[in-house]
Amino acid sequence: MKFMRSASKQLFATLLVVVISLPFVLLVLLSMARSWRYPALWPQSWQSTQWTVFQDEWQTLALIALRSLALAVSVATLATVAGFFTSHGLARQRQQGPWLALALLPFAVPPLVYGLCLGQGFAALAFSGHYGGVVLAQWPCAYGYAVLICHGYWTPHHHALGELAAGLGARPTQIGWRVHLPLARGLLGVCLFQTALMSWFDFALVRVIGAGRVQTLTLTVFDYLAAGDVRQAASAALLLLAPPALALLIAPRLLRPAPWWRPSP
Amino acid sequence: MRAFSANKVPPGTAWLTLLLLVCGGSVALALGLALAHSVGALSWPPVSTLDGSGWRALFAGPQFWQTLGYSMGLTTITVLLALSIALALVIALGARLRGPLLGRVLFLPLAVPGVVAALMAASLLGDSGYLSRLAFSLDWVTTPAEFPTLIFDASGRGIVLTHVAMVTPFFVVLFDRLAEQTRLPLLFQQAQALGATPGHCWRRIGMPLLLTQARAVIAVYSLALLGAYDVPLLIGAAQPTMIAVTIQRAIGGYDLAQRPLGYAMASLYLIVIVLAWVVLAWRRARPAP
Repeated sequence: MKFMRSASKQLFATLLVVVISLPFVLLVLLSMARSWRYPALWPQSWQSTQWTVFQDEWQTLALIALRSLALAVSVATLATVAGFFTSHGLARQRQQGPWLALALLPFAVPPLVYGLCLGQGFAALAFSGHYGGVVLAQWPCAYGYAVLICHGYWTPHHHALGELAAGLGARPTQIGWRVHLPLARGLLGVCLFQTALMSWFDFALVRVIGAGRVQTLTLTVFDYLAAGDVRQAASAALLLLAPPALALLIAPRLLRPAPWWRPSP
Repeated sequence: MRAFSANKVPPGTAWLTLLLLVCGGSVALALGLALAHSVGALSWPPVSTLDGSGWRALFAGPQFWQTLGYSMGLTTITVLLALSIALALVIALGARLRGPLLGRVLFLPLAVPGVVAALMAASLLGDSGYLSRLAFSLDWVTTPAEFPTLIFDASGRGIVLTHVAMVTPFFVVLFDRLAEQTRLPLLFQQAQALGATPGHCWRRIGMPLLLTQARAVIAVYSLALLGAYDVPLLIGAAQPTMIAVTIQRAIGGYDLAQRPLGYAMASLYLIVIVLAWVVLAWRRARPAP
């Protein structure tokens, strides 16, 4: 009886793995299908020119991917550095609740409404239509998130280690570089990766603030889909999924949701 | 790295000011600009009288209330479905969720942005999508038209299905972690020693504990889903639409006369969101009973 139950649970778990993987397999097939007419369960003919290195299609996609990456790295670096220092200041406040709630506020506001309201202001200051403007628009949310993640670092134990180093004569700079930075390295990695993902996945702000002149992978997926080119849209989507999928293979902890994980919709 | 001194220097006030300015200030600025635009205060050339047509149209017409109701309805259904599926999975599979394969595959949907989720949904659920092809090969349907309409449909089934698929794995991971943090297995052992059945354990201890612990996260998630844009834009019906799409069409559309209404909708929606945030923050700040 117990064996039966364990076997049925195992079967259910396997089924779940298949159901979750199905859309991803479909995406790979779509990105290589040249023609795939209605009742067929398998594409009739294949095309993979977009994966041929140095072909036109490949170059376009690679360039856009590099730009998105640069955008994500800028947002993540700015957010993580500022977030870590802010969380340190926050950790010494007696009343932390209101500050944490404040860091959470940008999450509650939908990026699209936020972008539309600030859009004309950005245009007036000549910020819209280029990458700096998009970084500036994406930053508040990533920064708030970074503060919430880094807040978890300041445990009494870590505070005490800093005080111990100070008692032994370390200067503030030395405490920062030689005590807190090495201790917080893992957490800062998670923070960098997850804030980069927020920018990498962003669609609404790039569309509104970018004003058609900033091209990222999410926008490329949308453009190809709107134009009816499912093969190219699926290829761009696969590129979009590549970094988190790699992280999942190498270091799953990078993807583990923090208590305040930002949902992708 | 001067900030890391352990002496009595006033703690990082400069950084906290930055937090206040960036997180509070940006939202306040957005709300202020939306309010100003909604009454035409920032129009060029400057006008002498403010224009209340946007707000009148908002309170007179059904458009805003319909789209808000529609968004709230879809969000409520999505969250309820996702929570029940996630709880059911945690109850059914327990420790297996952390297995070598399932433990990793569960994270996959968390790594999918809305645009890609919409693309997947369109190619899976569409009239000639993969599910429809499977149904054809099983002789359940003979033409694509016989397959039930799941995307671009007014009842929003496609949006709900896609959002549920995106959100459920998150809740599964969250509940699994909370169960570990609250030492649920130990509590269950104790309850069973006192004569409770496994069903009792989940109904009386497990579910109330997990749901109250996750309350704030669920609320934040619901707010984010309420303002979802990518998925409703790509696979939602033309009418009715979710609130973000409605606001975007009014402000970014070709009809300039719709703009004051669009900004009025955006301001009211922002006010609703900020009020919800205040309630949420206040409830969290209160000491637990």
